[in-house]
Amino acid sequence: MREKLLILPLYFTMAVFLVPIAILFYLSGLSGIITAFSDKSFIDSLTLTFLAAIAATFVNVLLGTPVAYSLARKLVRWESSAYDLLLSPISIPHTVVGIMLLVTFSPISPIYLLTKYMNPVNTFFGMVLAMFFVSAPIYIMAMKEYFERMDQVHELFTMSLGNDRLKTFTKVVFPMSSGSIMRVSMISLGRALSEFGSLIILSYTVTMAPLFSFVSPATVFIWYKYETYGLLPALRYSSAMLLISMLLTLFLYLASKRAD
Amino acid sequence: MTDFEIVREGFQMGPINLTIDDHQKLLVYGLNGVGKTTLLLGILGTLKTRGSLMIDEAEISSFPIEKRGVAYQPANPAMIPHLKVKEILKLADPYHDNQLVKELKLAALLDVKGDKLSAGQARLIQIAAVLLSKAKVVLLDEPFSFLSEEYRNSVFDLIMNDRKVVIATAQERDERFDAFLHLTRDPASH
Repeated sequence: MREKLLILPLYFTMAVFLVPIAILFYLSGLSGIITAFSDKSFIDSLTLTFLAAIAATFVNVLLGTPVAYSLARKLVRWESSAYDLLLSPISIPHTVVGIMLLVTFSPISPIYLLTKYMNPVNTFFGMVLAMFFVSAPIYIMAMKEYFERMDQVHELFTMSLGNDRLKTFTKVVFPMSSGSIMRVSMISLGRALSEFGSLIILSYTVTMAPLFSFVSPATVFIWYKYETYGLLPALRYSSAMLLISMLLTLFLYLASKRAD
Repeated sequence: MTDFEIVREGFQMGPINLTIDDHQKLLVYGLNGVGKTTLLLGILGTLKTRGSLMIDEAEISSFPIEKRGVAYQPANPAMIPHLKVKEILKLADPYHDNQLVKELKLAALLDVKGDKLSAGQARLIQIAAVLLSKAKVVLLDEPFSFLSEEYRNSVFDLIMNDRKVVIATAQERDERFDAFLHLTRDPASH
């Protein structure tokens, strides 16, 4: 009986998550989802958003995995300060992130000489940058915890055979961690897909010839529909995006299981 | 190796005064929990040491693990799961010695991945790899555990005939080794 007191919060929390999802699907209905998917501008928006989120996740794996490993193995003396700094975007409001990135690359920036050839405003690069900025702390935090828990026996064995840390990381640690990298990437991808605050400032509409011309990220697209046409169209597009996100999550979950 | 202490949070071991001659085989023995593995990890460089750790006149205590010239066979007989045995041996020596592969009858295992090896097979590969490496000192943590009787003797002969300095651990004294370090919970007896 007392055990049920522990399980009760689980049911409650699940309900908090599942009930709004169910209501969204119920109100939009299958026809609403089909209507959303037959709108070319929405398909363009979804495609752009998924491509940018996948690119940001790829950058996370490429940069965030060695970062998390160096922090977990304390390869730098100032590891603790570096970790605090890398986690700081979690507590920065995302509209502020958008403004920060905007001014960093603008002509008023003190480092404009270095950044003038990179334009994040209304570009695919800007979208990836903003998504990376908000998802990297989550990726690094989760991977650092994983590397700290990981049994170091294979690493020590490999290094003692005369292999340096870089070779040990690329040949032993990284491939051994593929299942966890997939799982953490899934969370990071989800975070990138759901980004809104920084994107509305940095990438309201993106043009990337010949693929995209004045296409909004999906979250901005849904917000625009809600603001301009009201709740009903926003419902359709929201449930369509939710469906795609859930399918992608399921796919990545199955892939990570296979990688284990 | 002379006069060193191993320090970790809430634990201190030593000072240990240990001098091992070239090619000598030292057995560190004692009951569980006396610090045999801790001693090996101190020499390997994963635990902080105070004092002097020298190999051939070179002070190695500030060297990273891969530059110490100390190869380590862990007590856990697990093997790198995604690599084939031949790839694991290549980590020790890219042009590995086929003679050792023959002596340990490893040829049939060369294309088997680490996670498909039994504990005994993994132990054989660990020992083969450390002996193939260019390290001058080999640390063997309970090397004969998980090995069948048949392999115990051939692995022992292989270790004793190798030119490297060997520091092995065991629960009990084995008179076939050249030198001994008995660890007890009483530091005065080290």
